[in-house]
Amino acid sequence: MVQEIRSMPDGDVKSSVVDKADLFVKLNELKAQNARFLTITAIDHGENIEVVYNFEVDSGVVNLSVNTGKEEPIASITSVYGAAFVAENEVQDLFNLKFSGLNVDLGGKMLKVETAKETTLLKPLVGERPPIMRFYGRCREECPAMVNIPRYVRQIAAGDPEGAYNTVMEMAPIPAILGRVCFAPCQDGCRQENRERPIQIRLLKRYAADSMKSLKRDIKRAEATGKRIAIIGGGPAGITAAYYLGMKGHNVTLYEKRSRNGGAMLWGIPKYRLPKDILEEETTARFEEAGVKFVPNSEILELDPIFEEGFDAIYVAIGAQVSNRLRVEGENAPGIIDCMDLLTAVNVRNETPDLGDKVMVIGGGNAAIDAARTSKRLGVRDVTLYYRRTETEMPALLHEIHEAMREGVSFDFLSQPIKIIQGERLAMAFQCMIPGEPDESGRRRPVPLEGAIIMREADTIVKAIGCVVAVPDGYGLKVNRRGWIEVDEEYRTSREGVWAGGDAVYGPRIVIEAIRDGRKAASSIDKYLGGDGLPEPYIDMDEFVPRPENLENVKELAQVEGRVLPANTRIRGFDEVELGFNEEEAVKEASRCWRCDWNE
Amino acid sequence: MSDQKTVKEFTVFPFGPQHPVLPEPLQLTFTIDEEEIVDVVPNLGYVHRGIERACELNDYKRNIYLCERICGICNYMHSMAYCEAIEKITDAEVPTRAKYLRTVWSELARLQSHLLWLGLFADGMGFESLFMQIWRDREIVLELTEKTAGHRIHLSTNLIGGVRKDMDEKLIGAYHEGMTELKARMDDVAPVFYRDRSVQERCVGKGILPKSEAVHLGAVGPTVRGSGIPQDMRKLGYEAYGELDFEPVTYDGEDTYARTLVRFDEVYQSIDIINRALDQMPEGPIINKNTTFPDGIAINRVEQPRGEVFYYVVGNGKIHLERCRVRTPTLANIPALLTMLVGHEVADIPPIVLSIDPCISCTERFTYVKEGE
Repeated sequence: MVQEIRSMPDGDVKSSVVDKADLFVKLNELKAQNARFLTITAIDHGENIEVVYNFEVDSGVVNLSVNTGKEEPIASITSVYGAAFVAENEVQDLFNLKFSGLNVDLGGKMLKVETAKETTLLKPLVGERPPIMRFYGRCREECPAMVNIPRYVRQIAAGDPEGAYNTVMEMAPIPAILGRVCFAPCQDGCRQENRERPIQIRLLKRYAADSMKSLKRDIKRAEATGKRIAIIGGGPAGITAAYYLGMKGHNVTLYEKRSRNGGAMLWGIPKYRLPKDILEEETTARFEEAGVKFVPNSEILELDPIFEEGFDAIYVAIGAQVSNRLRVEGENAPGIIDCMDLLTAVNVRNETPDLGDKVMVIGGGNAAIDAARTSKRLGVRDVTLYYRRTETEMPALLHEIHEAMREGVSFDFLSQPIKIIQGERLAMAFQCMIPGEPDESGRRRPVPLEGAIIMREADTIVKAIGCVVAVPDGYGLKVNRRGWIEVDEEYRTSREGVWAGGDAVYGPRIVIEAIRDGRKAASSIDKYLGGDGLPEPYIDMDEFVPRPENLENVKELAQVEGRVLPANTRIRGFDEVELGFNEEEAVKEASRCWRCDWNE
Repeated sequence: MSDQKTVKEFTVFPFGPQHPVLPEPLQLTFTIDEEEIVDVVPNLGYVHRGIERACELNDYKRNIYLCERICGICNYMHSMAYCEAIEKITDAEVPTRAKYLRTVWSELARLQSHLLWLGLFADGMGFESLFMQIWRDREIVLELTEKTAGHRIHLSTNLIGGVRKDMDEKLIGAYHEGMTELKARMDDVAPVFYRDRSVQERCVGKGILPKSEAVHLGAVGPTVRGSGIPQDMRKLGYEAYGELDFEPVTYDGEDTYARTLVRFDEVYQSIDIINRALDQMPEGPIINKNTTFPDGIAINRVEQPRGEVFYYVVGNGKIHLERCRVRTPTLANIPALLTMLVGHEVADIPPIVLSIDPCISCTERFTYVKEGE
């Protein structure tokens, strides 16, 4: 019984599989041809062991391959080829295979080593897992949701935006929105950042999503499980959890207080950064794919009725909805509005409130910048932002600050509001500060400068000093000192069958972190309902990734500037400021990646 | 007294793994009758490093550096043999210039190894001045290696699909000069090997490996060529050897002396091959990278200074290899060594054992770790 085995590209190698019984017939034939014994190669196939006898005949190699069980002994060929005893002893030691009639049988003791039990030098433990020669990549490590950034950048560079889109979808279900609003912590991790020119990963994601046009994709949900899940809050955490749970085959209902979904993305992010139709299109497509039932205009104040309705699990993602107070005298005077109210009016209700001629924005976060830029677009001549620390300590993104400056927003740093006086116009007294010692967050704590108090007038004061979480009492959930819902590492709350996430758990944060929360909670809920959860971030070891030919050249490639509307045009309306990449630009920018996730 | 049977008693004594004339950890357990060797049992396995297993755990490109460390002396040949095996099962095509460079460097490695051995052998015979002289001459080769890649022993220039370093005109000139000088130095010591009586008395007629048995015992390299068999893997024509005309050096003496002269003549042969290969070497690129993972089975054989090395590589289209089996020449020569020793005197053991140029540390690289223990 002789048959060809797996392909062997080498021309002068002949291979054949031989029955155990026929082995010696073949051996004697080979000996008659004056074949030279080369060696024995054993390959462990799990169930059985393939023993390959290698011979040389006329300067070509002849392989005889014998399959044998792990326990059954195999006849030694030392009676025909005496030289085989070294190789047979070796196989006996290494694979525990017994050779009967072995001449010079060293009894499994040829190798003078004992089985290694434990080693502290080799990490991970021997035999447990191969050493990882691939890394996550700095960008992916920085991303809270661990989106496989290196891969989708590669896919864009290879001209495969659809593949890139699907790669993002593994971890975050709203690429088109993220491509516009994400603060892109990945770009801080980009190794090109060393030269202060990171790859513009966010715009690449936006390109991938825009080329897919947020359409409903033709993908199948998992088989229906019949379990019902209620999700409270249509923000990024809620949308993410709803999508992944829906894809797992659960019957998901999403309750939203407002008339449209999006949560803080809807009211908090100005239209010039995230056009609301894109938000609507993308989330609707996701809900259709995952079969999520969206119930608008329904504020849930108690959880018990939901459980009574027959839901198996509840995910609470109500966000941080209540503004902080300024805690100064005269705070309740008319003309002082909350930045959340202003942004909601403009973004959700499409109103154009009259703010007067001069607007004062208090605060240093992104919401403050958004409020200032929105005011500018509403036609306010003089918009000034007051912050009690300096520009370097502002929590807002530097890029956003610079865009606001370019649009004509004035900044007044080191000014702490102390009193609001209502006269003909509103007037606010500010205490001038100087930077002092760094506090626990590493930022320099402002210290009042004795006697330096200034007065500023305005028609409207917009306060943007952060939001706090307000959990309805009817939920019966344990909250911590700051009012945030307490959860464990799997986002389970103190109440059985209730999960929480997003800003409601950690206070106001960025979208991508809420998405991470939503996905993790979805995985936990799925496991709770008998599923196998969602895959953890992993490295695809089998993906072939060639390194760029010449690394130095790649490092020298210049950053592709994303196109933006000119500043004087954009403040006249709410058109999207960033225009994104076209295909040529995207491929060019993606090609700047020098693939530091791959260690050759 | 006539009914009292006299039972002949033998002495058993161990040789190695630590012994002044044996640089490698091999134990041979001798059974001797007075001075005559009656039987010998080898004991291997003192220096396991688990390299075959590690080759399955590493990704296939890093195995180049691992295989390079199988043997200190044959490091270049090991990485070359591994790269060639992988090139057979990926789409890498080695450019001609890289083939010539690999040929030159593997002959340089052969020179380095043979000169090392000739010195050690002289030391094993007790010929200390010859040992000093040959090792001094070996410095020429080591300096060329250093000029090429920055290291005296490890060239480490192989990559899958070619080599990583090129040679410019200046370096080629240095090679030609070095070869000329080495040849002159070899001419100086040649009379010692060819005519000196003290060398011949230690070697001639010792460690007989009959031509008829040599093939069936699986002997390789200078060991088998000393028995008059022209077996040389370079004649398979890998790299640029197919384009360089040469004949394997053989001697019919079948003894330690013949094996010594094979190696000594191969020094001249290597000098000649290096000179000719450098003259014939074409211009061009030095590497064509592969774009696929290894898939399939490849067998590759390369002639090392000690003989044929055998690589059996199984890839399954993934980054890790399924199996990477290495059979080094010394392992193949051990059965032959055992037959050589029987019948000789104890004092002949060192030259005979050295005559196969044992490199035990590269023979033993395997350990099998059972999971869960």
